[in-house]
Amino acid sequence: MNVRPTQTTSYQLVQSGLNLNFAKLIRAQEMVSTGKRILRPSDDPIGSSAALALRRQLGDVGRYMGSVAAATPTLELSTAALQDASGLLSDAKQLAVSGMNGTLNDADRRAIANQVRGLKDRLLELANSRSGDAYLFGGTATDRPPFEEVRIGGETRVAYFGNTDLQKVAIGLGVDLAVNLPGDMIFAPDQPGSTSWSGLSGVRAGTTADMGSGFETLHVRHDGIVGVPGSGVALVGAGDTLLGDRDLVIDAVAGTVQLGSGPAKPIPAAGSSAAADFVLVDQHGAEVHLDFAGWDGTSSTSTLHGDGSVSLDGSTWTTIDPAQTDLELEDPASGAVLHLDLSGMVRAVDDLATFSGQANVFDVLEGMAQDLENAGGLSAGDVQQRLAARLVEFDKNQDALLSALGTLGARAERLIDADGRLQDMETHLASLLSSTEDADLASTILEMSKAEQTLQLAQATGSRLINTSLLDYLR
Amino acid sequence: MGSIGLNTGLKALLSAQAALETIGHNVSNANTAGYSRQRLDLAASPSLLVRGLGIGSGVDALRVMRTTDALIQARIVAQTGSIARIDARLAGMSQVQALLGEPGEFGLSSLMEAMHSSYAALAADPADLVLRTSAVQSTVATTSQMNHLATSFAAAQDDVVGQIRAQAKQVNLLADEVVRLNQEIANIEASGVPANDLRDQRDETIKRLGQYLNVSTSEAGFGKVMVSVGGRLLVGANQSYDLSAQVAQDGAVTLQLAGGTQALQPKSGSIGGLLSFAKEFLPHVSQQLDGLAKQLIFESNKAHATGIPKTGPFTQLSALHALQDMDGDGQIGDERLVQAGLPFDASAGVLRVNMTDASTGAFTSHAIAIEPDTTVDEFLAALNDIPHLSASLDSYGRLQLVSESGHGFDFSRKTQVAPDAIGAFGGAAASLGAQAGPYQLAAGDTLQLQGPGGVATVALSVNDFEDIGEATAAELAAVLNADASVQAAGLRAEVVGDRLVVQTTTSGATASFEVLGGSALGALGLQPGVVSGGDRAVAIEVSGTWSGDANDAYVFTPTMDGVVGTTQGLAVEVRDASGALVATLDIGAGYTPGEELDLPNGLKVSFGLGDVSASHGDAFVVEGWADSDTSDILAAMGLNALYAGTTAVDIEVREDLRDDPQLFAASLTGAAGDNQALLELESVKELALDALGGVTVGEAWGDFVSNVGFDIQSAENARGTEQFLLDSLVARREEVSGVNVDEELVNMVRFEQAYSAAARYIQAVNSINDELLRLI
Repeated sequence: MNVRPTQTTSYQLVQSGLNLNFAKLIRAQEMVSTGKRILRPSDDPIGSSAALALRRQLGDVGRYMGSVAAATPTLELSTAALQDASGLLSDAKQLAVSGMNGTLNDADRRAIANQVRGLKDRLLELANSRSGDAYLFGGTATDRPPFEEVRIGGETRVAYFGNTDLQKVAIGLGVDLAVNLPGDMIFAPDQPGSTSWSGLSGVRAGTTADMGSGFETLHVRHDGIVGVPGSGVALVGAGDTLLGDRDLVIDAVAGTVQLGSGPAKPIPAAGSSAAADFVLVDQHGAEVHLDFAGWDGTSSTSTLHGDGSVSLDGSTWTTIDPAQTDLELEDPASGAVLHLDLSGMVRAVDDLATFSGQANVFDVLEGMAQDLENAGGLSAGDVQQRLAARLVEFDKNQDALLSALGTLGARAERLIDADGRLQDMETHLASLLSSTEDADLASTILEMSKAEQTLQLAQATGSRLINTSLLDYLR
Repeated sequence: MGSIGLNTGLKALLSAQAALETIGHNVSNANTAGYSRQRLDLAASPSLLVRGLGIGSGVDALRVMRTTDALIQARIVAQTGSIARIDARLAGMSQVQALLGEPGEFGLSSLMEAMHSSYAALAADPADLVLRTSAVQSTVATTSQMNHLATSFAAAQDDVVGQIRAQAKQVNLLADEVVRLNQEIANIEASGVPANDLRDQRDETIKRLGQYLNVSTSEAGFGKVMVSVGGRLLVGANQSYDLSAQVAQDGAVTLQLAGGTQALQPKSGSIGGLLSFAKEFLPHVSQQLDGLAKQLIFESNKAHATGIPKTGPFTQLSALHALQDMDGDGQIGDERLVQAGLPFDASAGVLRVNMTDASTGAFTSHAIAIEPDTTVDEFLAALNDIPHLSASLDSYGRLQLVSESGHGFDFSRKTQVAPDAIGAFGGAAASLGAQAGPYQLAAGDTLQLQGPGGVATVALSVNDFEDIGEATAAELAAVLNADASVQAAGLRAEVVGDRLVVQTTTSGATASFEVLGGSALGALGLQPGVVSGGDRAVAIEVSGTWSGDANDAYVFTPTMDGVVGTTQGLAVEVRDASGALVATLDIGAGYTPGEELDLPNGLKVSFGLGDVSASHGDAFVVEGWADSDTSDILAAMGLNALYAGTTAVDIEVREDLRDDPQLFAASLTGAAGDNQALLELESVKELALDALGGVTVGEAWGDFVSNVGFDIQSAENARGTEQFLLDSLVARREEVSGVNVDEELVNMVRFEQAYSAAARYIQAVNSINDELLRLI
């Protein structure tokens, strides 16, 4: 304590006390008016460092939430497109099934074929769906339609021009979510297995593996028949489809004629219109055209042998050699390679090879439409058989689409989870940040009124102190 | 007694009057800064021998003295200096703190967050031009803020220099003032009168000097003082020495006293504070900011360099940073690439360059090994060896890359879709692979082959190999391809991984060659025999992106001879670069040609139809690239950079990229929707960088900001303590030298009364004399 206080000391004391208290009041007022405890790093260096770290974390969370928000519409659009596509496939399947109805005539089937083509076109539009300017199903090749119609080997096919890359966004530290689903997995998925044949011609897969995508039509040409029917019956020599050896049995007693184990047919009456070009069918549907004009009325059994050629592109033909069990054919347009076992060929009719490598839904639909149109003039039963083969492939496509929808569903689920988690985190971080850098209003105001009170006290006592002087009492 | 009595009374009257005058002086100067209370020294006059009695002759007013404590005064001067130093530093640091703008919306921290958010938004839709532009613009905002901070720091440095100059001028004026006062005091005190008020003035002047510099005083005789700063004279006995500030080229400030040779380093005072701010604090924050900017530039450029912009592979690229002629011989080509004066550190490693054929979209991948002793010329030669690419240095030493039209190049780590371009695995040409190298050959070893065009005989020479006992496949292939007889025979040599492969130049089932013999066969693991080609090559396709942590190369070899998808038990063994088996792929019966098979680390492979042969050494390699530039040479040279510049002052988004956001390389594969390069750029944010002490860029900035806060807070706290100390010193001084008006009033009353009493005494002496006179 001062032993010898002077007026200057007291003035200084009062002044510094007032300054101190006034500064406290101003600081409290600043905190109240901004609501912040930390206005500059020096207010609380540790707190401001923590606040910056929290803001960085909040920024991360905000960014992840932004990615979730950006991914959500893309996934929703994809899901909607695939749900529509799934509906289309169901419709197509119904059409195919109704097309297998044996009571339909060609015109009916053509009408159905048109509908199937319509579905195919709509499916193509869906497969080329866009979100903004970006195509949804092209992998990361989002700037061009992923599916386009191209002419391959005389057929209109839909090919995939996208890639298989995933476009991922970060929805957490080290947590990625793919936004897209490459279209080839959905519309042209890999399906391991071997090549399947519709089996009309009796061709079988050779010993060596095949390679190709979608389907290939094997053209089978009839080149001629070796052998002469007995009993004076002659070959017409046109429209035959018989391949390989088959017995021709003319049974004069029963009045029937039979090819192989096909249906026995009554021998046409001489001179009737049918007698000049009588069509006999064997158990495989192979035809032989017979002229019964010269029939001598006897029974006979003879063996007929049909020769033919096969071709993939319709221009290069290979003669069928029944001993050939691994004939390699290549379609230069599509690059497909087939290995054929020709030993069981029974009928000259275009056959359909369906590759297992890719079950391209557009190819399958196009095939369905072609089968229904029946340009080759197959019998109703043959058409049914081919459609049945298509439907097997078609089921694979439906499976692929459903599994894609499942994937999208799981992602949507993850997005919702992530969003919830991120929102919780944001709330938590925001409250942490608030408790770090925001002023506690109650205590700040209390602090402020305390400072105010102290200031008033200091002013009151200070004014008393500096007003005291001996002069007041010296008269 | 009469005259003695009257005289005694007179002296009492005069003394009381002098005392009252001193009190008046004190009261009038009660509020004068630096004033020291004065008091009148009184002493009893010597007694006179009168009538055998020693009678006192009254009072003598000796002199007026000021009451001071020199020690306290000196400590006040020192303390004032300490506070002035802290205040000067605080003012500067607070300015820096205000510039940082943290925590706040427009601080660098928020801008960097906004930048990363715009990257994330673009990652969700990489083809969107608006998002792309916004990503580039938010990067520009970040760099602008860094530029702003850096230039503001530089401006603050200039400000400080100006302040120091102004204050030095003030110091010189004050020093002159001390000299003048010294002189006056000496003059006055020579006559024996203390120059109280001048001394007070001088004390006050020295105190003001102490606000600028750490001054100390010493007596110089005749009432003069000398003032020195850090042991060097500022004011001598009769003269002052001029203080001046010099600014060096690099902006460093030095203080100099006239006549001195060494720079003055004031420890305290505002000049000391300014110097410490300019020499320690500012350079430190500038360095920190520059370090941060440098790391951001380097790491971001590393991620960006290997990306592919929306415009596709490059046809032309220029490096931003020049290679330097380090040894000063006028040539850059002989410098070692990794020590060629680039602003960022490149190291030994591998650089991958992909050449894309624009018409087919297919690309070939070329790896350039950069060794510690690779020269610039060797590097340029390696680049020029890549078909369709030409590399050169411009006149400044910046690398220029140009591709032929119809070709483009990039440095991405994208997966090679068709890894077997030469058909060494079930290819159409007749192809024979040796065992994996290196080969233990000997000088003079021969190899004899019967190709479609004749017999080729090759004799090996030591000169063609670095070490013929450890001959590499690449060396051997070079020897074979250079041999005229091999060329004439219609054969060529290729390298697959570290294997030598000999092929016919023609392909198809008719293409064939025969290994006739030669002493090199054993080392190569080959047998004499005939090798034939095939009509169909096995189509191999790889998809996916390598997810491994390091670069690797998978070598694929069949387990037996057979047909893909047909032969029972046919499989392909996959080995990594170290030779470890990582996968065995079943491609025999039951495998559908073209079906994708999973490989480790995110890749898939499919095999087309065709024959493969283990006995003919079929093999191919799939490279897995985790980092297509392990040498960081791209970022060091500033090729396909995101940022130009090297420090916070000149960091900016590359100019052409800023003008055309399509050049922002978001993609690794070149596909419009691919965002992998962008994701890598985004992950720079998460990188803990050694150069920043093992923290991320954001964390380093946070530390930086809070350190500035700490500095200011601790200065503020110190200032409080120092101020308290000064206050108590000032109080002590007041205690000794201050004027207490009440005390003076009491004294005034006292001397008023003494005056009255003296007057009364004179009256009494007078009446005694009157009485005597009446007797006469």
